Parts: sequence; C-alpha cells; structure tokens
Amino acid sequence: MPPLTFNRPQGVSSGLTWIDLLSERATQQPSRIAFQIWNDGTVSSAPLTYGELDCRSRAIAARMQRLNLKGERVLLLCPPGLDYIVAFCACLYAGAIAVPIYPPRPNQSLERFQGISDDAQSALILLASAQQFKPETLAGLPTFSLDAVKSEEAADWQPPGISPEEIAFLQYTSGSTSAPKGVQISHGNLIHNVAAISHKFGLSNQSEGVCWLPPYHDMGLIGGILTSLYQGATTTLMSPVDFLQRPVRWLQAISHTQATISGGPNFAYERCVEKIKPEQCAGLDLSRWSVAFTGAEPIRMATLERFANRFAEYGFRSEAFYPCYGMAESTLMITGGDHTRAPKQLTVDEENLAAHRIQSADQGRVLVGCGQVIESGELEIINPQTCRRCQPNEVGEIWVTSPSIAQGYWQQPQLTQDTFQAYLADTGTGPFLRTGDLGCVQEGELYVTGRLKEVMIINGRNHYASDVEATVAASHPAFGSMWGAAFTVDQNDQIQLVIVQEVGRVWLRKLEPEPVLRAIRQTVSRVHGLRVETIVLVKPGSLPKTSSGKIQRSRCCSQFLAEQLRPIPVPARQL
Amino acid sequence: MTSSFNQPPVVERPTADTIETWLCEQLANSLNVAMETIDPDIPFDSYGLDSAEAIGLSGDLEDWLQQKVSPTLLYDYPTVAALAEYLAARSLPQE
Repeated sequence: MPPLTFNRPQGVSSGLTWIDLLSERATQQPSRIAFQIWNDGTVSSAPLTYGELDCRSRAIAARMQRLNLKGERVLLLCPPGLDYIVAFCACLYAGAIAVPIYPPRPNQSLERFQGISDDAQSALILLASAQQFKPETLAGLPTFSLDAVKSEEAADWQPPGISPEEIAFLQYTSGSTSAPKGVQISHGNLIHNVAAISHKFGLSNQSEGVCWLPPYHDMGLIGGILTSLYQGATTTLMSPVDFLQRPVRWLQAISHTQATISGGPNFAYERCVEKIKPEQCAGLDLSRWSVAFTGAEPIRMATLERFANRFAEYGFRSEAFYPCYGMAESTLMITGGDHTRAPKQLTVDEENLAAHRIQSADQGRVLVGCGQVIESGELEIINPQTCRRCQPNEVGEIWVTSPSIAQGYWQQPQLTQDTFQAYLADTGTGPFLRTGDLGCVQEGELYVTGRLKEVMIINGRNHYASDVEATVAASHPAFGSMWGAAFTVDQNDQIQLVIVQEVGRVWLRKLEPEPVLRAIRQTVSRVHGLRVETIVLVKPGSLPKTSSGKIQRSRCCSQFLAEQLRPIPVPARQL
Repeated sequence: MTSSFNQPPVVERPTADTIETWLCEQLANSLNVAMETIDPDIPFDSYGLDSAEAIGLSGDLEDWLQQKVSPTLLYDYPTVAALAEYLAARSLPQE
C-alpha cells in the first residue's frame, strides 16, 4: 500500500477536516475493520468496516442536514460502542458540533448531565435506539435513533462545506467542582493532535488497538478511537464496565487480538495488579503490546513496576510503558516520549521540591518523565506569579502552544482569555495555554509534579497535596493503592493539615487504629516535616472523585467541614 | 460478624434465601456494619454503595455463582431482595 497522505504530521495542518480524513480512509480500505467489539471472551461477529462507518455516518448526517443542524450542538447519548463512533462521525459529516456525554442511567443523579446539556444548548439528541433511556428533562428536544436510519439515505448527503477552523466537538472537562466547561475542538485541532499522537506512538495502519476507555472522555475518544481511525488501523472496543467488573478482560482482549497499543490511567494498571488472580492468566500473551500508554492522572513509578513485574511472565515488557501528558484543552496530548525506550524517572529531594526547586537525590520523590512536546508545539515552564520563565532547576506552571490547542471554552470569553491567552510578561511571547499543572524540564524531559491549585502552603512552605497523599499511601499496607486526600483547613487562625484516607477492604475488619494513625503521623512528619492535625479513615469508595477518577480535594474538604464524611468507627480516644 | 472472604465458591442451586444472605454479608462487609442492619428491601445506593463498588460486586457475584452477571445488574435490581429473587429464578433453567 502506498504511504497515506495523512501519515506525516507536518502535512496535516494544510486545510483538512475530519470529513476529508474519514472519506479518504473509506475509499482506500473500505473493507478493513475499523472497530470490533470484545464481549464474553471473544470478538463479536459484527464489526464495523471503514466503508460501513463512512456510509452510516453519511446516512445519519443526511437526516441531520434536513434539520439544518450545521453549527448546532448534538448530544451523543449512545452507550459506548460502535454506535457511539458512528454518531460522532455523523455529526462531523453534517457540520454539526458533537457533544460527547456519558449516557445517563435511570435512578442516577442527573445534575452534571443536565449542567452539560444546558450549557451546550443542544438542538438534537442522538440515541442508539428508541428504547434507550432518555431523561425526562430532555423531553422537549428533538431526538432520533440511529437504528431508524437506512444506509440508502447516505446518497442524500452533501459535503457541508466547513473549514478546518470550525468546531468539530465540545469536550466537557471532568473538573466538576465548578460549572461545566466545554472545550471547543476544531477539525484542525483534532487532525493535528491525532497525527501527533500517531507519530509519538509510532503507529502505522498495521497497529492493533484495544480500548475500554469511555468514549465520552478525551483519552478514550481521541487516544483510543480517533487516533485509530486516523491511522486506518483496527481497534477492539470493550465497555468500561466490563473492565471495572473484571480487569483481566482487558488483558485477555489484548492477548487475543495481539494488540500493539492500549492504555489507561494509572489506576487501571493498579487494578490489574490488585484484582487479577494467577489462575485467570493462563495463556495470556502480552508480548506484542508495544505502547502501554498511561496518563490523565499522576503516574506512579511503583505502579508501573508492580505491573511490569507481575505480567513479565506473560510477555509484558516494561519498555512498552508510555507515560504521556495532556488535557482536553490541548485536544489530548501535550507531551510524550520515545516509544522505543523505557520510561525515564528522576528522584528528587522532597525539601527542595517543596521550595519549587529540583535537586536530584538518592532518596526522595520519584517523578516519571512524560517526554517532549508534540510536533510544532512549544512548552515553557513559567513562574505563575511573575509570568516569566523559570530557571532550569525551578518548578513552574506548564505553558504550552501548538496547533492542537483548542479554541477556548464554549461561551465563556473571560475564562477562555484567562486560560488560553497567556503571554510572557517580559517578552510578550504568546499566546500560551496555561495548563494549571506544575512541572519542570530536565534534560529535555517534562516531569509533572502536581497541580498549581493543589499546592498547600503551610508555614510558608509549599507542599504538593498529591505528594503528601503518596506518602500516606505508602505509610501502611492497609492503604495499598487506596485513595487519599490531603488538604488544609483554616482553623483558629492556623492552617491545619487534614488527611482523609481510604482503608483497604480486607483491613477494615482487623483494623487497629492506633498503629495506623501513628504510621501516618510519623511518616508525614519524617518525609515532609509536617504535623497532621486530623486524620479521617474512611471506607473504600468514600472519597469524592471526578468521573475520570481524579480526587476532588476541595469537595472532600467541604464534606469534611460539613461533617459529611463517614469515618470508620474507632474508639474516640484513639483519634 | 463472620468473614466472607474465604468462603468456598458455592453452591449447586442457590435459592433466593442463600443469595440474599450472601449479598447481605457482602454489603455489610463493604459498609463495615453488622449484617443485621442490612435491610433487603432498601436500595443499594441508600447504603452509599458507589458505582465502581456496585460493578465490582457484580464481578464477585460472577465468581461466586460461576455464571455471567451483567455489570449493571445492581441498577436493574436495586435491592438485595429483588436481586436475589432475580438470580434465583434465573439460575434454575440453566442447571
């Protein structure tokens, strides 16, 4: 096969849309399988080829064109799977703006769902079938179901005449402490980022993917699904709940399809180590897995090591781990390393890190390298107060610019200006995206150290919440890979450190609080020189998290102050 | 309180009662309360069981019953009693 037009990232900013891309793939390789479903230990018999995806998308788009939906927002309510992808591509073919959203369930809180639906001012809802659950609050919106559209209608489709600058979809960010923010991703952003990801991952159209990540989050949609389409590769999908129910299914799918690329956040690898029993692993072959990407939450070297040790006997290679860094505001990927090398790590001195300085050390905090900025991008480490470049050994806010940087937040001009249009104070260089993440660049490698807003200032020193949490997690086996939150409260004119920590289920019953609490206090004091004022031990699953599995520290803090946390009952004198 | 972690996989043909007892035990365990405080007719979510725990419990059910269980079963049958009754009825024709 001749090299594909789209294969070179440097060629992609020249006026192409997602419609051009998908049409070209369908013409070149109509019978190639784009996606198939992994279910019940086998690949289902009804895959979706590139030709079918193109044809079904055009048929649905043709209907949408009759409703004049160009530029209008369309909610994608299909469950994860083939229909979701068809619905997404159909919106783009119609020149409409897709709004990926998790499909709500009966008996579930609809607060966040409704917030997104209101913010986007949607004109249409796409469902997989008329039987699918649709919240009553959306009763006023026009709806149609994918299964009611016939393929012949594809002939009615007209190219919508859109340019790469136009918005392809709104990616709502999972930071749910505030009102929902819809990141506006243009066709040009999308093409640039999937091209950059493909290049970084070293993908070709021979790549085989496996993806269980939800398609309504950026990592699943961009990293799992659209990058695969860009390459003309085949990806096997499984539902996120199938993974959560039984993590071994993920590895079985990788083994069965001999997948070369698959990934997820740190917790996914942790779950595998924790939940998968040796007898479930018989026959696993992970030897072709060459890009095991990890991102979207702090990457712990200890997790990567545990996973690599555990699954080495099934062919997993630790060089396959691919730590990367990104966010919806940059479509997805900002940095990634050399896919042929094992992840880089850097051990730094905790004391210096608290003072925003990087000093390598024999013992201390282990940082995992996230590689270099994507093609055509620039990355700077900036002092967030002065808006000037940091010294090489200083930690600062990560600022970035590239053709992947999104077009701002939907209908939020002030927030857009604050976040997307930052300029260096001294040279006026810009505009940059302010990521809100802290990090440093050492020998050309980005190391992410924490979130800007989650720096706790105690007695004039800066401490990363995620850093203290990692210390607590390591202080006692009862906390293994459980979640914890560290935050400060202002009481009696004093900033006090509070730790809320989940206790592993098997420990609940036999927990002796006194040694556990002592372990936390001693370790935090030893490592960070901090006094823990209050410790609350809670059951697994009690800490508030975003829908993508990030700890919501500020929500946890307000629950603590409102006395809404439910501590594991222990005798009062021991607390 | 008895521990259910080391229970052997069961059961030739679990009755609704057997399943109900097992579910109450699992719930009591998750929530760290006495088994007597679990009311089979009160919805799972009013005990504060979150969605990942519910999905995880469906996986444990699969292990115990040694048959396939939908990950979202706890949403479709949102109380111990309803779920036990459904599973007992379902397991009959398959044996």
